[in-house]
Amino acid sequence: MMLERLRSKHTPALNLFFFTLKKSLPLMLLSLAFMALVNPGLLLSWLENTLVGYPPREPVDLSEMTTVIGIGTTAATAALSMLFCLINFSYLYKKPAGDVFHALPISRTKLLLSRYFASVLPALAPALLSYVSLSLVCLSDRVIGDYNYIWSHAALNLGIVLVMSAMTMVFLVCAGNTFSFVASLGGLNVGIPVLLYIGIELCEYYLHGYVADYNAIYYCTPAFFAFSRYQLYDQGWDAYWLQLPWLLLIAAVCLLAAVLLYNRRKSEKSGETYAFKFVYYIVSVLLSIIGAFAVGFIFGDGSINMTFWVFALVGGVLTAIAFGALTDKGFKTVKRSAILGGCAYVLLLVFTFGIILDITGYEKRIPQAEDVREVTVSVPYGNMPDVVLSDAKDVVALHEAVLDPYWSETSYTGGTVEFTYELKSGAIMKRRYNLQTEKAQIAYYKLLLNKEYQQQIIKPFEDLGLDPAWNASYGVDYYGVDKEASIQISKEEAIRILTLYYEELEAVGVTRHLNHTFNDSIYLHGFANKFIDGDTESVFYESANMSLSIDGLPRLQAYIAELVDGQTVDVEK
Amino acid sequence: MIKGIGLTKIFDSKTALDCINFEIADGCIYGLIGSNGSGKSTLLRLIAGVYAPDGGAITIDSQPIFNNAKLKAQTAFLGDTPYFLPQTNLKEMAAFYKSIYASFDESVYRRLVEMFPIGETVKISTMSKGMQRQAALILAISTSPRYLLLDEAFDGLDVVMRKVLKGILIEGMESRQMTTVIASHNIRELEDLCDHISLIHDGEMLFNDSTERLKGKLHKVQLACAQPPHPTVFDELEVLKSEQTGLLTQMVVRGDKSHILEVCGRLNPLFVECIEPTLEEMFIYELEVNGYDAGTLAQ
Repeated sequence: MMLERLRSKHTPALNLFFFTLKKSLPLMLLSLAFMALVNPGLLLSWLENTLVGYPPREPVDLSEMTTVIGIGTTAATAALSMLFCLINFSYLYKKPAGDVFHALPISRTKLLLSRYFASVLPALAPALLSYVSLSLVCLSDRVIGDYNYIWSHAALNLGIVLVMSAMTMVFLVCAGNTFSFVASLGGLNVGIPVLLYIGIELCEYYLHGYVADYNAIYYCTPAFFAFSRYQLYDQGWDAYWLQLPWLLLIAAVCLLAAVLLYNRRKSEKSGETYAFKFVYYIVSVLLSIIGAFAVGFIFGDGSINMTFWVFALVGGVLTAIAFGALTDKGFKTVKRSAILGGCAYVLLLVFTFGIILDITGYEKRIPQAEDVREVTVSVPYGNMPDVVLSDAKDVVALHEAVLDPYWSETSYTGGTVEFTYELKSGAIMKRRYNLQTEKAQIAYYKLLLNKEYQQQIIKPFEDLGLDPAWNASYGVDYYGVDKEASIQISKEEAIRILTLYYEELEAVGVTRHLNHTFNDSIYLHGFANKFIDGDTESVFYESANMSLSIDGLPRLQAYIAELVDGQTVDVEK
Repeated sequence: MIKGIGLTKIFDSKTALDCINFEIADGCIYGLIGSNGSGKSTLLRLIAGVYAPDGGAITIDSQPIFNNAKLKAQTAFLGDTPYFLPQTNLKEMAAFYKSIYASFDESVYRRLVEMFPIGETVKISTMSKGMQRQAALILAISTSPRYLLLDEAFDGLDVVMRKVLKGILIEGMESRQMTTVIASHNIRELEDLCDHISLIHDGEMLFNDSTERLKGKLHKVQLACAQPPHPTVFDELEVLKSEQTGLLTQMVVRGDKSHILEVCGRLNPLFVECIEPTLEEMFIYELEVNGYDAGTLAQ
């Protein structure tokens, strides 16, 4: 009745939506049947396994299996929505078809939106039914867990499908034929992350102090962002719900871009390679940079040397020519492709030498102590807690010492320190350095004598197990030249070790690397746990630990020796 | 009224239409003739709102056409290659057009289905080229458009169907002031149908006028004198083409008929005759003036 009422008002765009939806019905019904059976079917087979085993296996934990089902269903429905989009917008690639659709009395915006939603709905409906049928199977008492696991996955599924299909629309509109669409969609969504990875690796290799953040790759394309949301699994099901607004926003932005481009798209571009040439240029340069790097890397034997640069040029130009030949189905545009390959090579060259020469001043940038709200000092790859300091003076002094001058052998396996400055402006600045020069090591020693720093180191040990409900224990592992031992100690003894360590450092004034194992070192650790009432399986825990080199600290060495030998000693200050 | 002002369309580096001006009054059958690649189809697509102009303007009732859904609801466009939704028959396509065009007339559709010998439930993809064109015509005309735009309308139709189509177009014009714009290189088909003709060549409109006035402007003159006349005697006439065979002079002259006869009369001819050329002859003569003729192309 509502449909007839709508039709009587004569809304061509809505009628086109229903007409398109009707045409998608057979494929939708097929995927509906498949999805409604597969997911609950998987769950049922898991349940079957729990029933037939002897002794009976544990009930199926919903949280464990919904991730697998959720990712699989999401990938399938995203692919299905993209397929529907390609089918329903194939008229963009044939001139006679384009003539018919663009002559219809429907504005371009409404034409795109009606066909778009008619492409997304047939993909989402099967997914929705799949989650509903999964919920029904979960009524079994052999399934444990919160139903929110299912529906949070459904929400994430919805968001991801909308993002993937909206992103697909942008490329459908920009391309002129099916090959260009596939090449640009794949090229950009695979190429950008690869390019970002190469950039991060180059920065890490050449840019002193650079801390690689591979998380940036998850944000580089809508596709990567959308699917990377599954890594939030450990944060619980509500983390998925919180992603939905972001995904809807990204989908809306992509769809808006598609609408704007479609209103400017020339009908006469149907059947040509690209309706908007900028996409081709971007993809070509992107792939050529990757090709240049790959070929140069292979022939340069993994190093960036003269051989690398010679073959990078060859690789970049050949990649561009190959891509151009595939796109244009011939070698008509070799000259243009070669120029694009050359541009890609130049971009790689400029970027790499820009990093090597530090043209942005990244390496030399050190914040003023008064501009720092707080700084976190970490010792990566070492058993040391992170320390957060509000007074950054000693950290800045260490930072300056490290860079004066900065020297690091690539084979260096010694101490490393990492600073994360939170500036008063709100910016975050992160740097990581090897402590290879004596000047740097002395500056680091001075940081260890910072009272705020020491308090931060000792505090976790003091706080461990303060709550009587927690079972706390402490221990020290000793590594000597002739002897190794692991002993349990008391909280007071653990704190005494640390206090003595700092006292002796200040008294003796010996430069030390932390986390370096010399002749004498210890690993101090504390652990506290508690059990949830009546449930021995669920455990919460806290820990504190650090490694110390005790060379040249005689009082501490004696104290440790006596602890190890089982005698407590009062050590004179 | 359809109006083009300084209309220009460029494809990459090629100018398909170069600053043309024209008006198409309502209720006429307007023929667009021209050589291959002259810009006829481009102009039709601009009127249909499929293409956007690169320069100038194309309007219907002073409203720009491109992306104008209200104007397109009054327009039906049939391209040189008809397109139908995949795996559909005529009935399903009619349902599609009915859902899109508010003016779709079921009774007109029924009448046309009975008139044209094609099956409603036969898959269109299995039909011959001519039958597909009939199907496309049925659908386009059933939308009861105010402006019917046909590109190579008669292509693939047999003689009988062409006559049927002409009858439908004339009836549409007479009964509801439907304006038909037909692009074709087959001038003979348009000659007895169109009341207005324009000739497009290389993106330019060489002439654009009513058929009657056009015919009145160009004349074939046959003149026989006692002696072959000196070529300069015809200097005051606009002679497009002249041939002398013995005493017989054959000319194609643009201008007023009475003036032409008066000039020829001064030569005391044995015989003089001034007849109207066919549209096809006019087309050839005009293009020859612009360097597009068989002799030039063969060189």
